[in-house]
Amino acid sequence: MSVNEKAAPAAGPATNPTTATPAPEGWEPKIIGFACNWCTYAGADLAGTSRIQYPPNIRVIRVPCSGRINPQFVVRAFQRGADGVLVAGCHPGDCHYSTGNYFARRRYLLAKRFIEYLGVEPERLQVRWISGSEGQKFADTVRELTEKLRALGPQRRLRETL
Amino acid sequence: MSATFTDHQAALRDEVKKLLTDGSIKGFIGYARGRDSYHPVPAIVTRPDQVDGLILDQFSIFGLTKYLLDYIFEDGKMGIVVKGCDALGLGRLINDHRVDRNKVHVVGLPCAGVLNGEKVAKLGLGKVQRVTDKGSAFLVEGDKGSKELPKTEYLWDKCLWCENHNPAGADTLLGSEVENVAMKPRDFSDITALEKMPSAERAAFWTRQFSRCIRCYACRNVCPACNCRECVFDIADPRWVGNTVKLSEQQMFHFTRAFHVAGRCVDCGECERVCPMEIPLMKLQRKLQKDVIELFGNPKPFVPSEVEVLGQFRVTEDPEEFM
Amino acid sequence: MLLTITADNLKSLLDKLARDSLLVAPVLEDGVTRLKPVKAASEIALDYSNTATSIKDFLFPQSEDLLRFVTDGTLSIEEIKPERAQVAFGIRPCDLASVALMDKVLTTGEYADTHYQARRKNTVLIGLACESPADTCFCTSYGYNPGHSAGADVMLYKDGDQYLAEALSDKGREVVGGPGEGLFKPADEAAGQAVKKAYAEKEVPFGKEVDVEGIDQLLDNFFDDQYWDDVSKKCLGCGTCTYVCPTCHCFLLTDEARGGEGLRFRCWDSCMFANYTKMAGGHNPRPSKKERVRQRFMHKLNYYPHRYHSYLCTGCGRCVAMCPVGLHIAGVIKDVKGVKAHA
Repeated sequence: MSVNEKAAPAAGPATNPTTATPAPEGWEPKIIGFACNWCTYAGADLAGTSRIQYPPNIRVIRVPCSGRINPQFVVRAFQRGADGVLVAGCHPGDCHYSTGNYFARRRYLLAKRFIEYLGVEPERLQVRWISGSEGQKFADTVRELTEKLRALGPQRRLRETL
Repeated sequence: MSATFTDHQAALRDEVKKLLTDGSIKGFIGYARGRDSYHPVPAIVTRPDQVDGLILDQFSIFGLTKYLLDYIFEDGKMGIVVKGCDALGLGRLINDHRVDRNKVHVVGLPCAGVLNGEKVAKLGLGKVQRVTDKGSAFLVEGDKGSKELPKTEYLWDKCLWCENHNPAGADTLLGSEVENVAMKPRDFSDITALEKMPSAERAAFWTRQFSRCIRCYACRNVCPACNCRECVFDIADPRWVGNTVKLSEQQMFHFTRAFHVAGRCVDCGECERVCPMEIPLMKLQRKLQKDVIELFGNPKPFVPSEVEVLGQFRVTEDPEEFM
Repeated sequence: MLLTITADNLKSLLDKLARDSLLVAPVLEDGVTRLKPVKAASEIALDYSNTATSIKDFLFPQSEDLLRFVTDGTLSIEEIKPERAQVAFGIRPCDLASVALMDKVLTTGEYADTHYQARRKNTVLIGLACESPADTCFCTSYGYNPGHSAGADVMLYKDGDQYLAEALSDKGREVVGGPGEGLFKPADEAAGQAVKKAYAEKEVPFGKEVDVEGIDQLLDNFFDDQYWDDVSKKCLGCGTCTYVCPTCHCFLLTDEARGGEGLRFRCWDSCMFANYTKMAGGHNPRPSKKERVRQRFMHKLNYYPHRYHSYLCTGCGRCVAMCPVGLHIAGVIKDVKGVKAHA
């Protein structure tokens, strides 16, 4: 669903301008997940220790705080081959550094709209607050994102070719 | 009807001569004649004998404030002439702690709108002899013809919704303040139209624009909000944006440049104006402005404040979409 | 031998050329006319005085892959050679002249640039004489003119509703005799010569204002002049002038690697950028705008003429039109003459 339209109608099938050529045989979506050290990373850990199943499509990068995640990191991830990016941190009010996630929230409200404006499907950038106790939410988020990306196909618009 | 810029030219020259002679400034940043009547260019004078080369005319659009960064490590004051929009750029540099207000002598130029030299040059009026403000129009008299040019058609777009006709906090004001009303409300309809375009079409639109980019960095160099001590595009390691002109790098460049000034852009439009490939860069900037206004309830993100939009937050009022 | 071709036949020729090879031609897009690859003659815009960017884009591209390498225990290198044949249509006389200046640097002397040479060899240049020079054009200052054809393989002159044509090289004759077979007709020699003469003598108003005579020598003892301090202050430090210039040819050579695979490429660089001369230790021999601005104009008007006996500028006027602060070569020439006259 478009984030740029305030009262968007019920979401139809996602349109993908970049999948004019179909996904290659055996293609699996690749997700880069930026997880804050204090909440989401612990949540991902909990998902593991609780043996909650989730798709192995995500590669997690641990960062000190969601406030550390420069939107440039996201674009770079897309450039270097990611089909989707997950930005995740503590719930508002829970930030280890008190306010980091509030800054991140403002930044990503804008960034998400901006990448859509440039022609990238906004669904490819997922931002979620996932606490250390929310192993299930982490697993659900990754599963949801993986399914969405499977429908969208490979991300080619920002992808760099060497 | 108000005085035109040209009416202040003599006063400006006198002022600059005085300031240079008595040593209160070591240089002055103003305008000089360019290749024709319609394209005045920046000029930086350091000696009283150069002052007669300074001009002021109704085409003086260039935002000069970025030049101040060339002098921040030197002793002494620089003088500069600023319009209302340029004063916002100056405010940007001062609030970002890049320029020390005490080291600048600001000559303010009240402005009823700047004529778009690109448009007027096409009318074939020849060398401009005189410009008169007729209220809703400028009468431009050239050696090959005269024409009354409606302001709504011949001013730069930003002048039409300008709410800063008088530069705030000038040390010297040329003439008296002009009426400070916008000719029309700020208009984001072109941005809305782009937003509504189907995703694939919009992607194609930006691909076409970005593939024209020659990466000259004029947009960055003229922007008063692009004032980092070392620009991310100049750092070789880590190399955030490669040197090749591949589309992926062009997109990275334009995303980064636009987003780095999100919430800090003063809406001067200089990036778009200096672009040699006419990439509509303000369509990026104004999209961000529009979202900032809608999301964070800041009605004027282009007026520099102590803490900028992305440097602050509201705990409960900010939209929550990430739960 | 002079030939003529009708506008319709020219269109068919261009369509054929676009089918058989890469055709580069002026295209109007969002208000900017620039050279771009086209697939059909219908995409071509003919209403332009000059294109925003020059033929340089296709002979010495802004970024060009040179070789690929793979390191997986051993190193293997695969050279990338530009082999594709291309035809460039609508090249103005100033740009044709610029190719000759680039040739001197890149194909003569001890080292020749193999990639440039290959592209030159694979490119057919179809020139188009200027009907209406822009008010920023000053080719006549350097002895060129709106009908200057040297460097073209085929030269076209618009003559009413048809074109006068002349094949000037073997490559050109191959186009006229190959894809162009049956499309050209012999022209009346005297009438054709008159058309050429009219183009050669066409007025270039700005050219009259810019007198380059002896500027190379005037600059011999000008390196330390105060002028460079004064004029460089307004430079914005962007790369517009060097990137739109048909004769600027400085470049940067870099590798980019991901894992064991990599690419070596070269891309344009600009002497207007502070980083251009920055050395590994941090020292920069051209630390300020003054040295950088001086370098560009000295190179064009003094160093190059001393070495190759012509100016490194053809008066295309792109910097005059596009420099955001009006710091362009015609202005510098006028200024230097003025300073010298007063000295």
